[in-house]
Amino acid sequence: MTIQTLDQLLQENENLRFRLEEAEETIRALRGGEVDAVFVESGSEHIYTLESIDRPYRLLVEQMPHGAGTLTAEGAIIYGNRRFAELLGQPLVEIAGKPISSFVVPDSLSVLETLLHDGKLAEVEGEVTLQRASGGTFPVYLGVCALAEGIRGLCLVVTDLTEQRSYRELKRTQKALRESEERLASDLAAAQRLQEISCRMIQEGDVGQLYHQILDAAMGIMRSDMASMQMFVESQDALRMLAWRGFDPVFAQTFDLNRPDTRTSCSVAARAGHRVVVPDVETCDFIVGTPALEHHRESGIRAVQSTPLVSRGGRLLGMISTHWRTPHEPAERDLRLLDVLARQAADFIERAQTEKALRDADRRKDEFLATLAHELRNPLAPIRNAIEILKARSVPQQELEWSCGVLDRQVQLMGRLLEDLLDISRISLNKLELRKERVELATVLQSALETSRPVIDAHGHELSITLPTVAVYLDADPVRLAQVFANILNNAAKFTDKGGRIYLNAEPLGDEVAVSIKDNGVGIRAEMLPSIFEIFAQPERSLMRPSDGLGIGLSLVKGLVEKHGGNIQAKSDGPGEGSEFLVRLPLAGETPVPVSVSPPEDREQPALAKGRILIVDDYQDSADSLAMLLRTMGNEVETAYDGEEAIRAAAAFRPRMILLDIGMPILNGYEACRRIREQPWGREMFLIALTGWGQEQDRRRTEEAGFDLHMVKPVSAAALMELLASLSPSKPGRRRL
Amino acid sequence: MKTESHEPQSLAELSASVTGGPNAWELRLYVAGKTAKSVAAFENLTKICEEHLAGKYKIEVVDLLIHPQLAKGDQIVAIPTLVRKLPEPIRKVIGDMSNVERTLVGLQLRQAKS
Repeated sequence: MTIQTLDQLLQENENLRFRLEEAEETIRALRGGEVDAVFVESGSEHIYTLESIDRPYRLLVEQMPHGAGTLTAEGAIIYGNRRFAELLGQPLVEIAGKPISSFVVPDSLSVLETLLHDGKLAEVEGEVTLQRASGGTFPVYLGVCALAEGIRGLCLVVTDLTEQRSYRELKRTQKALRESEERLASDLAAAQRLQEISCRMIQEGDVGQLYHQILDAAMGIMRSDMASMQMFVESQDALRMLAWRGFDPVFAQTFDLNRPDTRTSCSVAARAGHRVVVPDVETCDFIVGTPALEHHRESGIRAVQSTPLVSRGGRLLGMISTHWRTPHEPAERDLRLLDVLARQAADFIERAQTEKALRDADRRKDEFLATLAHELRNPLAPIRNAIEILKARSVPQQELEWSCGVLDRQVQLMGRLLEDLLDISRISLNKLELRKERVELATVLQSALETSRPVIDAHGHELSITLPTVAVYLDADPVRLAQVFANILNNAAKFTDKGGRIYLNAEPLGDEVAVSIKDNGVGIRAEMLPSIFEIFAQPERSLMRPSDGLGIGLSLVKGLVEKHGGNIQAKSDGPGEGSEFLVRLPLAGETPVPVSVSPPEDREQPALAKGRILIVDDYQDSADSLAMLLRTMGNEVETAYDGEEAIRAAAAFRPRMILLDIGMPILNGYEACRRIREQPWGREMFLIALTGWGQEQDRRRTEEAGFDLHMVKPVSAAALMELLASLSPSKPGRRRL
Repeated sequence: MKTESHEPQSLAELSASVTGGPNAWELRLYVAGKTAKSVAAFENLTKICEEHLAGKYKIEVVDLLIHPQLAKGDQIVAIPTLVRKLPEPIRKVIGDMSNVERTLVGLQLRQAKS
């Protein structure tokens, strides 16, 4: 063997070794799955790729958006797809062989162990938190099941929940956004409703309607089942129900009047001056253990809030309450909206009250002026008639005296009216001066009785007097004080039906004396009580109204009593229940002496004659004087003083003409006219309405009642004579003067 | 597969992006289209090269699906296979080179552990 040959052998040996290594490397790579294609040369060159058959599966596993992997039964990672490696944050080569537990946060280990254990028996799934090598953690959903064939192990599917979490988060945000939008829309609706209500408050005339709208808005804002609104009545120190929503009428009865000591949220709120919220009446300290709890239950109230309605000046006007059938804690935002509503409602109530007061005052002023004109005109008719008589030549002595009496009385009456008016203005201007002296109450009352006795007797009332057994002294102006009691007594007499009872009681109480004048008359309506002493206040214009009085009497009385350092109070249980006026005056203090008062003597009323003209007027002077005047002119004249009497007189006397006053007690002029017209004998009679009211509507009413003519007082006798002369003997025509 | 803005049409195109320098290593990677192992082999190779031969290597990718006749030259049997043309002597690494250690040894960039 040559050296060259040896070298060649060595070289060949080296080549063979190299090729053997290459062959071994190839086998190793094939076994290790590191190759997926082989080159085959059989005539022509050909490449066989190993992936063609399972390519769809491989693509599916590699490209699916979930991590997928296989584990040994002990939990070591055998294989994972691309997503699996991504989720674990390391290349597949790095994670292969590592236990899956090393990629899980400690808190999730027990869950993972359970999953791996149970996964060998059945398909299980659960949530664990993975830990990346970089330190980041994220939630995943793990599906685990046993590998069905081949090596014993587990199959793992990993779903990243981060994105789902984000999705859920997004959903939650969207939901919150939608809720917030809805909230905004409801806020907007509430604001619009508030706006609408404030517009209505400016325009609305129907207050009741508006209260209901306010309550509807309150229920909308508070999402309550019921609501109520109350008005604070200062004179009663109580809340009175104005309007309610969602309750039975029983509720209004139960809670109609809430006094400060009533166990309700509204009373507590009224006392406290701020809102009171009762989330559950069953646990409310001021309701539980009192009868109020049962009242709340009966009305279906489980939760309630009461918000005071307060004027801009801080005065309590009322209360707005909302109620729930189930326990309820109102939201802060709802309460804020309610406050806006409450502000509007309070402004509205305050304005409505002011407007009503102004309207009432205005109306009373109008009525007062109308009454004043009427009262001042009334004496003019008899005065004028008396003057006519006096003007006539050869007046008989009797009629001369009578005429003088009329003039005297009527001038006195007018003087009294004017004096009263002046007194009122003096009091309101604080210019009235009292001539005070030490005076005994009994003397004052006696003086008052002397003035009032004729009026009381004229109405046929029975008067009972109870005085203290000892003398009571006052420092007072006896004339003014007598005026006070005479006024009240006159009032009692005028506002009590004929044959009534009047009680005068005086008794000392401590350093005061209380004088009560009580009757069983027409009484005073509750709503009139607070304003009865106001100037111009008078029961509404009525045909049954007594023939005199300006309606300033009580105002004058109050002014005078207060000038004396006392006070006066009016009481009545309502229409038909009588009235009581209670005057309290400070005592002068000293020397009690027994006294007694004897009622003054009765006086007779004058009576009158007959003729072919019937004159009907409850204002007797007026009727009598006109009758007398017409008699002196050669007529047959009869008089009547009320409607019923007029019908009787007309039936018996069959006059050609009847002058009928409209405002009369018992039966007014309209009704008397109607009844006379109903009679066969009454159709042809010439009926003249005689009234102090000359407005168009008064004229229309007299025409409707069947009068031929409407004349406004005072009537001129000359005009009447002309009229009589012009009447044809047959059918009288309807005319007007 | 790595996501890139521009998806290359073939691995041959990819090789164009890898440039050599002086004293360059000349490597030739035989692949069969875009089979998983072929792609993995290219990715793993470039990673290894960037790490150990940065700036001084050049990879030529030979797609045997397109040029099967080229397999003969380097006596290729299994694919993927990497052939180190330079530096001499020629070395072959067979497989996807997922085992970095073995690949480094195969390329004689590291001594085999005994």
